[in-house]
Amino acid sequence: MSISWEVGKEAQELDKKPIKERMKVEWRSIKRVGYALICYSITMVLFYFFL
Amino acid sequence: MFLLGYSPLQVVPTILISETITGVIDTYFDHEFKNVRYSFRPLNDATKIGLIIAFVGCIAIFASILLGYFAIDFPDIVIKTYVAVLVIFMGISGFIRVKLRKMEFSNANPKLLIGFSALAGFNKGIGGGGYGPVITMGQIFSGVYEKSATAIVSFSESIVSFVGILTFFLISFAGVNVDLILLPSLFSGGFLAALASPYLVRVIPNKFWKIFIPAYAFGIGIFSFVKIFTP
Repeated sequence: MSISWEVGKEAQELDKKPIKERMKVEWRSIKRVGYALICYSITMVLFYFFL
Repeated sequence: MFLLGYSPLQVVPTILISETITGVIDTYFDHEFKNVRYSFRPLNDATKIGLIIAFVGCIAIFASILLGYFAIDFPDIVIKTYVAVLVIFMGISGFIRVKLRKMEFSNANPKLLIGFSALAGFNKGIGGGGYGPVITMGQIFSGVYEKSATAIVSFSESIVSFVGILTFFLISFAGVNVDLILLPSLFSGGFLAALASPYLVRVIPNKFWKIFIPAYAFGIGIFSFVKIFTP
């Protein structure tokens, strides 16, 4: 019996779309990248004081 | 870094801490940018694959510590040559696979995946390296979509690195001082790469990754091979 992974189905669907569509990200994702960069900056400041 | 004169106590824990944090960030954004979808309840295929690879990787770490403990030492040149040849062979096999199989969907092969995880774990355990390329190529040979394979490697490596940190700090209780002087610089590069790479994986088409991943494995193998035999 052949089975197929349920892995990357969304990535495969997204791959069928043109590059402009793939470049677009949701506002929610941009906010999360922003939060990650804020965490990164805080961590670097902590490194400066504690390492 | 060893070549730059840093000691193992400066390099190893720093790399493990940095890889754990950046691996978590990379995993989170791979999920966010839909390169792969993880789910623990119910456990989906991507999470299962990541956990299997991580489990074998953790066993490899314990095995490498045991080997070190019992002072079983393999000749360095033999191990490095074996891993370099294996990675080159996997890169070439990847090219052949792309040439022979034009279809988008491959059948899943869980047994093959476990086999490759064990092979990569064994290599890591004997200190040969090449864990990333072998695991990534192993997933692709086992029918995992290329973009998802690169994402799952980050997930499993973050777990393996976390177990590595725990092991290292357990050893450190024996009175070894850990020096984290390299952490800020390694963390900086890793963190920014962990934000950028999931987005690049999403935007760049999979047909590019189909060629790039075997080419990267082949290149790493050739580079290692040249490094072994050049003084």
